[in-house]
Amino acid sequence: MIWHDVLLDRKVEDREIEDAVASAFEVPNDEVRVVHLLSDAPPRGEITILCVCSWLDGDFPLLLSIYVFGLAYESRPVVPVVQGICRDLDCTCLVSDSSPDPYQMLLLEGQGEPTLVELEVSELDDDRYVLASSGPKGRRDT
Amino acid sequence: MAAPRARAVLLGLVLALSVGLSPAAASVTGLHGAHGLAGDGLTGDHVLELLRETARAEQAQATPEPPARPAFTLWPAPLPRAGHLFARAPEAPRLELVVLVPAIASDGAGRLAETRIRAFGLFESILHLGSNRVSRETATGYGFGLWGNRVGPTQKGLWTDPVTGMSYARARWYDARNAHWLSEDPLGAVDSTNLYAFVGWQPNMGVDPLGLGKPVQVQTGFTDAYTVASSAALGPGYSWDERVALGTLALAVAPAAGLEQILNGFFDTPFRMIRNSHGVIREVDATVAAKGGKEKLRHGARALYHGCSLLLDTTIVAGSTEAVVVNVMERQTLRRSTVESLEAGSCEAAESEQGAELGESLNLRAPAKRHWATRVGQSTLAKNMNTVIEPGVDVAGDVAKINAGLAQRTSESFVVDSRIYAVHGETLYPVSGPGFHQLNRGAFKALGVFNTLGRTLRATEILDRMGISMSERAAAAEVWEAIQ
Repeated sequence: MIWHDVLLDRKVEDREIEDAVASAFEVPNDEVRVVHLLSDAPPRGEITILCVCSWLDGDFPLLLSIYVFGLAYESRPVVPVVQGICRDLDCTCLVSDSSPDPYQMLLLEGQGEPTLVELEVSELDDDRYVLASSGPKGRRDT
Repeated sequence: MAAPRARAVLLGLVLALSVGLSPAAASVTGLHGAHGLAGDGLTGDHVLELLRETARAEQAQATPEPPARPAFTLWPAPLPRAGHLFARAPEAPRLELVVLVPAIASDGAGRLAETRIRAFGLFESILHLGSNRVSRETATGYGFGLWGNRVGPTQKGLWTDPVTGMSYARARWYDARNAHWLSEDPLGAVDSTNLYAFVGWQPNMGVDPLGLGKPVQVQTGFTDAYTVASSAALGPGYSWDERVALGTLALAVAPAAGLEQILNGFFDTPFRMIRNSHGVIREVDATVAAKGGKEKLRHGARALYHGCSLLLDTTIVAGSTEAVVVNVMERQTLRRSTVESLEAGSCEAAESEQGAELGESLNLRAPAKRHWATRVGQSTLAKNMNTVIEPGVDVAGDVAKINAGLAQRTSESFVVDSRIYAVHGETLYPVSGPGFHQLNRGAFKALGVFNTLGRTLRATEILDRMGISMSERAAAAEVWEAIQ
């Protein structure tokens, strides 16, 4: 099942992604597969975690769609896992907050509290995720 | 010769004034009569009769003025998610409708779960929504003693001070324990020579919501709120604002069969088909169509445009929780001039009036293109819940209406043509409604696959590898079919 979509603020090699995700979910590296097309996803049962990478423009050029297979992984809380990825990859990430508002998300770094941020709406028209010029709203929302 | 002529002029003047003619017309008529009197040998009685005939003819030709119909305003604005809403009409200062909205947001979907309508303090009806009917048991089930003594939540529908035990009836206070008013009847000995008497000492025959000693007659005791209110609303002897209140209340507790009868009788006007593409009527129709009782509520919706916005509210209460919210908000934006324009049959004029008059002109932006269902793909980020839009939805039109002030507004959203938009900063985003689909994360991803591969075996294979559940696939497939 889809676990979360994670936006990274820099492009990262597939191998680095595998390492970081495996570490964050505490699974062996060969249990993680990174693909760039859904059609390249391996059959179920071969892996525990599937990462589908999409290159984007904007402040967050890498969209990582993380699929997990197994109840133990489905329930993993998003903030600590993604913060682990941030630390390993030395990056900043955006993840969905709990609201239905498509124009706000949570900004995560390797440490510290998540920050609710707003996105430039006009950029979203072209699937570019750009932080609004007004900057973080400064409200935590986990 | 001067005396008969002067008498005729005086008679004409007095009579004309008595029937509403102008003094100038009376003078001219008097002079004509004087000529006739001199030339034809007519007497003053003849002139008087001629004047009477003229007055009768004018009265017969005159178009009676329609009764003034209150234009209600609702406050506070924006509507709270919970709490009391108050409606009041300047023309009917004694009428105040209080709607207690305890749980608009409590069901998590922004729907009203229950409302309590109190008009004049006459009855208190708790309307259980969502069941497509009013709970008459609740509406009529209060255990009022004949003298208003407390055996239920209220005292004959009057609000009762919990400390003193005194009941408030607008014009004066009532002591239910001792069965008398605390002050004299402001209208005098209307129902009893005892100015402190409660409904003429015949509590089984009526109630007195206003404390005016002009009791609402009941037939068989206080057992059927609908019967009481509807008969009072249709009956003589009550002012317009009193009838509005009673009619409103009748609708609040009306059984399905009686609703149209009340509306027709209450307004004494045939309902007309009004096609207002920007108005609430279409929304009501759309909502009710899926829930039954369409005809009944359609009439109720049109009643709004015949003069009484409150009636729409209570009408819809009986039918649809969603419509309640929509129409309560619609009422907030209604203006008397709009009503009059619609009554004149000019929907376009009313729409333009609304645009100019409903006030707040906005400059909100349309939702980002990511919301269009056809644009969802692998690289589209999914939130926990995602609303996608079918291609045929006139989002630009919706945005234009919102910006023109034609949408109903709450503190956090706009409703236009039954579609709900939330707002982020100056940008709208879709929430729910016709042509909108809410998809969870998995369904959203599945839609991206369908958009790329169609509903093919290859798509199924990929969805299997993604671990997308069957229910998520079904939700996505429904959207995908809709946008083909």
